[in-house]
Amino acid sequence: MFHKQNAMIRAGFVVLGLAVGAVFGSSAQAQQFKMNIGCPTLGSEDLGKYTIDQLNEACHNSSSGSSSSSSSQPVQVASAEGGAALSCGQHKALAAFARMNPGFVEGETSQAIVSKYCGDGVPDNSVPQGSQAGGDLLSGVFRFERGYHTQYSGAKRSICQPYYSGDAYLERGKITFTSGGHTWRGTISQNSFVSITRDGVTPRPKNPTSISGPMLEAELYNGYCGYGFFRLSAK
Amino acid sequence: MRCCWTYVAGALLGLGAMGAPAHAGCTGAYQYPVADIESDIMRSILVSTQSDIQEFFNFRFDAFCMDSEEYGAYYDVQENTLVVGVEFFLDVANPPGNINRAIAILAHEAAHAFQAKHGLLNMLVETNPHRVKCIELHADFLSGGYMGWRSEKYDIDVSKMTEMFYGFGDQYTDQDTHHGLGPERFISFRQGFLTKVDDEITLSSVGIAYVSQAKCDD
Repeated sequence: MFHKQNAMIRAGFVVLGLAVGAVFGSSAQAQQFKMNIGCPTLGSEDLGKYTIDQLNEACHNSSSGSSSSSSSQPVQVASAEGGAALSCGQHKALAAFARMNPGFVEGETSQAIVSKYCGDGVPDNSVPQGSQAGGDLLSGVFRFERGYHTQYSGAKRSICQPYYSGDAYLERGKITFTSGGHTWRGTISQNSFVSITRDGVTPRPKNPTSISGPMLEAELYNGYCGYGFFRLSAK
Repeated sequence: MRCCWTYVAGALLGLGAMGAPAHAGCTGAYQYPVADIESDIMRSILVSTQSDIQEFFNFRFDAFCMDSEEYGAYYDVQENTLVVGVEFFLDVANPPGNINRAIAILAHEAAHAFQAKHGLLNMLVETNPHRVKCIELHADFLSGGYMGWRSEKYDIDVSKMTEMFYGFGDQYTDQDTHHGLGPERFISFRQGFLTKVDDEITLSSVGIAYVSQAKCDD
């Protein structure tokens, strides 16, 4: 079962990865998407069958276990900047932890991801719906757009605007942009999910604030302004 | 209570070693503090590693001891002591260029200290046998997290360490002492290495979530 499911996920990633590659105009990056998803996860049912050579090939992009150093593996190390592609099961665990510990702001984005991208029918060992491999490999200037769905009036309208846009700077799993008088810093994971929590927004908002979801169509949330959208696109 | 990383077969190799006098904090007959190591280089490495590990995991050992009879490494929960066998340490650290493999093992044992401090080892006393595996994989993850943090200062070959952790896997899945399959230990360490967070609590939380995939409750 795993083989089939994994193959389907891989096929989906390849197709989606190629689509992203087209968007950003880099076939090399699309190729990297394929390489980066070969490493199995702890939840893989057939993980115990992997030999050390297979793991080195899939996870270190090397057939030799001792020939490459972290400094010569920018792709592998860089992917850490945005964090790994967490499965729905992992997001559920983090979301549960966040409910028990309000100070664990990292779990706030997991709560949003679970409710929106890990619904019924998505196995715990699958990545959330909307995942695309390789977002953590992108670097450069991209265009961001964001806004809140609810139309306000008065002073609140000036704070919770329906549309903002500007330049976002991506560097191998990290994203930074300035908007609405705040600097937003967060991560982009291996499965191209953007994650920004209140801790990453400077000055720190008074209310819970997050951006979570696929980088091309993520969800914005602020306790004062409500829900909104966030998306990145090529410039 | 010991939480150990000791080769059962390898333990036989250390029996012929002569013991050193015990020191305060290192109470075993063959133990002595790392500060008493004669080799300047080795002493410097281990003392600085102890400092780094304590900073990373935000706690302090009561003692960090070398043991000339032990072939392995372990964290003594009751004594709050990290113990590493001399011969074991040298075997893992050699040939030259592999010192970080030995440090990764120390980090794994320090991870058990972290688990003890935060009550995570209590899971070991539960009846579910696979709790042991997940405690170990979680320690592998934390060790990877520490080595990832360390890699920001030093040139570290992660593949050497994942290969080592792969080798520490065992096939005894039906036994209470099962520590995880080789690939599970490889993947857990690697995932920790790749995970960059701001503090050890978050790293641990992410690690718990990640290790939960290993079906510890089956």
